[in-house]
Amino acid sequence: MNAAAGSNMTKLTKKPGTPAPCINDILPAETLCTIFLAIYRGKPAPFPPSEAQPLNQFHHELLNLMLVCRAWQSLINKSPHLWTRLWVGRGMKSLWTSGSKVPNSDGQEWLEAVRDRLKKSGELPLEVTVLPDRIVDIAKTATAIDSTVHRWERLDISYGHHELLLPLARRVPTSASDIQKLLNYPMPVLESLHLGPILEEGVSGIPYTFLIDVNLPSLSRLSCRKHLLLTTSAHLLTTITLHGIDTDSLNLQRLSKPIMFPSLVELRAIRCPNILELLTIFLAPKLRKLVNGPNDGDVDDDWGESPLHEFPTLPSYENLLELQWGDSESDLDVLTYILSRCPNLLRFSNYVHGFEGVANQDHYVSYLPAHLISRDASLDSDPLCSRLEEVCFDLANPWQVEELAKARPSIKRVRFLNDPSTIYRGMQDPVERSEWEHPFGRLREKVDVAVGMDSWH
Amino acid sequence: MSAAPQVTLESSDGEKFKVDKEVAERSVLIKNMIEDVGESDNPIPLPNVNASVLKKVLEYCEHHRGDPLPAADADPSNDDNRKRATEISDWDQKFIQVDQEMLFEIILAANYMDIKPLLDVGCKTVANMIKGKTPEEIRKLFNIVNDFTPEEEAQIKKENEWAEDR
Repeated sequence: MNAAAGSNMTKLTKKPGTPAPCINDILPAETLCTIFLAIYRGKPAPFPPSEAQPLNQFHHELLNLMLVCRAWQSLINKSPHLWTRLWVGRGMKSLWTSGSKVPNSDGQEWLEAVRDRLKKSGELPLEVTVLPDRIVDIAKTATAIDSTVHRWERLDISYGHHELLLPLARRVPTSASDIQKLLNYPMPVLESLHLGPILEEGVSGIPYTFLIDVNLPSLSRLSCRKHLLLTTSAHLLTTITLHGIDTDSLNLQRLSKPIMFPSLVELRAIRCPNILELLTIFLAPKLRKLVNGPNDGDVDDDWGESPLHEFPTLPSYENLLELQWGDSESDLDVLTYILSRCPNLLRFSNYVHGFEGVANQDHYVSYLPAHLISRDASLDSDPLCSRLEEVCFDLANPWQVEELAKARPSIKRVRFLNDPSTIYRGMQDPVERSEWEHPFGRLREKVDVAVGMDSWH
Repeated sequence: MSAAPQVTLESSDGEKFKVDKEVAERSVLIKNMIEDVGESDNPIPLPNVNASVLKKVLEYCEHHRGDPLPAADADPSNDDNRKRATEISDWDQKFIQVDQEMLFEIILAANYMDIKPLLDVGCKTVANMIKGKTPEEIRKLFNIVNDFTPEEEAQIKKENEWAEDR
């Protein structure tokens, strides 16, 4: 209870005709701080950071609050919880583009501002965003922040907007070794790490994709875009998101053996052409959810056309319950092989959740792996996915899905992202139309069918 | 089945409210008072909360009577609390749709009676009123006088240039 609250309450009882009292005379300071914190934390940054987010996502709402009055400015400056987000590289744009205020070679003024902000955060855990392309001298910047790395809870190494920043990036390239040095700092409490596509091919003569080993004992969420970052010590790592990683351009031979992730439960590989090779790198016995794709049709033909017995040997994912597989007809064999390694799968989707808006925009009817529809024993002694309960398709032929439901009686729920009825209603040929319409009707009678993003019944 | 135990609360203007003990104990202040004093038929005085506000506070407590109580030492910087910082349930949003004077009274009562979830709803509501507004609009909304000189404003902007970059 706040002792001041009682005395403040009488101030609300105003006489008729008198002006309304100022909020600062009503609410106690700590309540105002709670309000400021709700604003500061109002939009938690998504993890991994969204590529589509505009640069002004970093706009600091507290500046407006600080400009309201002296009392608010003072309160904010004295509240460490309001200074726990740090953007390293922030402010370079205004310095760079303001004509007379071209930054000096080390950005000393800005480094002082960073130190000041860090001081205000006290000893609280920090969320740090590093924009390497907006740092004039990464070595000097590192000296300004290295005393705080033990407090870093989240680190996003991101890339800004090319059109304004590329000239600066060309002038002061940040290299893979710079990033390596940054990540070599001991970060004992770091829980989330995102490494964005920080390097432009050819800018610094360094390959676009590279591989870094790091030692981050508390890491639980890792996201890598274009660059593969591996950690051999992340026993707490539960989620890995990979985006646009082409294993062909990585020197994976340097890994003498696969890396064990004992706690990994979710692996997302978006636009990574060779999922099988990635899966051979990661040993994840507790994996519960695997997401692959969409691949923009850029699948690895070598894998896609190989007979099943030539795939690299994957372990059996006994704990894997959910598989989201961005639809691509040419990698059905890869999908079939992976399905054969998931004996306890409960949920299968042929599109990536969260990408519904772009899933199968061409309205291409998806085909299901023949082994999945088969009622007979297939690759192994047991039928493929005999425990499947939920299947989601961007667009599928209801006849095929009905066959699937017959072959896998465990299926209870079926989702069609695109409504099959809108397809068959446009069909001129009555025979063809009935081949879609009747199975769809029968399917609705047997299982819970959802269309689009509708909820299950 | 025996009736739920009840307690009587007395507002600053003398109005008495008989409520289930479970509902009243959403307030840490009342819970502690009951524990300190023991079972009693005497009304519990709340000299800082008038009847109209207490009625509103009890409406909130009644609706949330079965909710888990927040941890006393909840760290505002942890992930769960960050999530809570942005969420107001539909019922709470409707409940808190009151004029500014009542909103502040509810916040003060929640603070005095130590009802953290209600205090959070009030603070989030004020935060939502502030979001997206200019300093001048905020001053107007809450009757705040601008006590900065133009030079001081310029200095604050300069010191926080990094925050302005769009």
